[in-house]
Amino acid sequence: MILVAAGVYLSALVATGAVLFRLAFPQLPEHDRRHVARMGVLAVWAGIILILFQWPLEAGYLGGGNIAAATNPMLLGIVFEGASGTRLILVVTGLLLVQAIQLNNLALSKTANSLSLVGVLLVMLAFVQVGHTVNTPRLVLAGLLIIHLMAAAFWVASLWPLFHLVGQHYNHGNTARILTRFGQLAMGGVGVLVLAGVTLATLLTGGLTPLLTTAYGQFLIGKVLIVAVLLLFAAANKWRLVPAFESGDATAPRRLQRSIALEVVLVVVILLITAVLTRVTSPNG
Amino acid sequence: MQKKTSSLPIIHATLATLLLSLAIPVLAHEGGASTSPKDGVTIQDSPAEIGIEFGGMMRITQFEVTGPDGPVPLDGQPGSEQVERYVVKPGEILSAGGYQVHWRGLSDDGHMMSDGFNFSVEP
Repeated sequence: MILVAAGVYLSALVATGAVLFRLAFPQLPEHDRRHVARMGVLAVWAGIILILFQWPLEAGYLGGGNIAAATNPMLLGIVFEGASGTRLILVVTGLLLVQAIQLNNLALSKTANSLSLVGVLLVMLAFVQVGHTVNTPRLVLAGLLIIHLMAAAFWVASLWPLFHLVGQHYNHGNTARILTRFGQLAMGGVGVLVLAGVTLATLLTGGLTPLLTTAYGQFLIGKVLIVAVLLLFAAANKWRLVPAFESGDATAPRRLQRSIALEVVLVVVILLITAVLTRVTSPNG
Repeated sequence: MQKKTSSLPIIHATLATLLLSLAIPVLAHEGGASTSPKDGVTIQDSPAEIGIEFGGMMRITQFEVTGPDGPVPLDGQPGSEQVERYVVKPGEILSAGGYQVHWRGLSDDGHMMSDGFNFSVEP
């Protein structure tokens, strides 16, 4: 169940992020554009299959964790009638619409783009159906989470295409331009992510005291500590890789690829942890 | 070429923020659930009722009491509609020993929940 939940998160982020990535980089070379498109389609269908599989899994969990419960019509009905059912419908509809961008392979038509963006929005809306963003003020919390997730989706879906671009030994000029633009967009994205994340955390926890006194808050502090370690790691990478690039080190692209690959692994780990925490929780933390 | 590396710390920072943000959905839940009997207490007689009260609406889909003689038959189970207070009556006088209560349910915000509590009946 945890693996499936993490898979749903990853698929949805990659599928929606692939659309945002393609719209952000219309000058992407044909080969790379096809690469992003393939990644998007794969993520869409993985997401649809996984979220449909999640339905009986949730029913099974609610009924005591057995196969009989997973196929129990009453439990399946309870899951479908609830927020999970709404989320399932939104994710499946959204992911199907996201594929509209594939309709026009040679030029990005406005209609296809608009349909894909509606799909992205539906998938994002699905994520605010379950969890604490349904609390008051719902519009503010949901809006913040949607902005937050869109920035995250763009970033997660960018990793694989960037990995490929960095590994190419031709058209360095175009690759550099794309990486530069990504850097600019990512800079804005980080600002949005931080702002939305901090505001959400403040609104949801109600201040510093709950952070210290509740198990959830303490867990969040633990996460922030991991964040700090990651930032130290980022700084170390920057000071090691920047001079390498400056000096024209031939191994620099490979090292950058390794670093991006590590990011992918870390994303998977983070999504697994998130799945553990968001799928099975208890009132007492 | 130098520009390439500028995205790296940004990627890390974004990853860090993502980590922080994804932790948010787990923040405080239907916290402060109170149970009857209280968790961990020892009572003198068989309880008239066993139950749990939540801080919000909850749809209980499984509620089991296990004692020294195995599963305890329960009367008056409310079903799986949304409730704030879920209470059942033991179908028999509880003999002396330790009892474990386990429940699963779906909270109002769509989270699946699972928890339990213990109590003992004095000989």
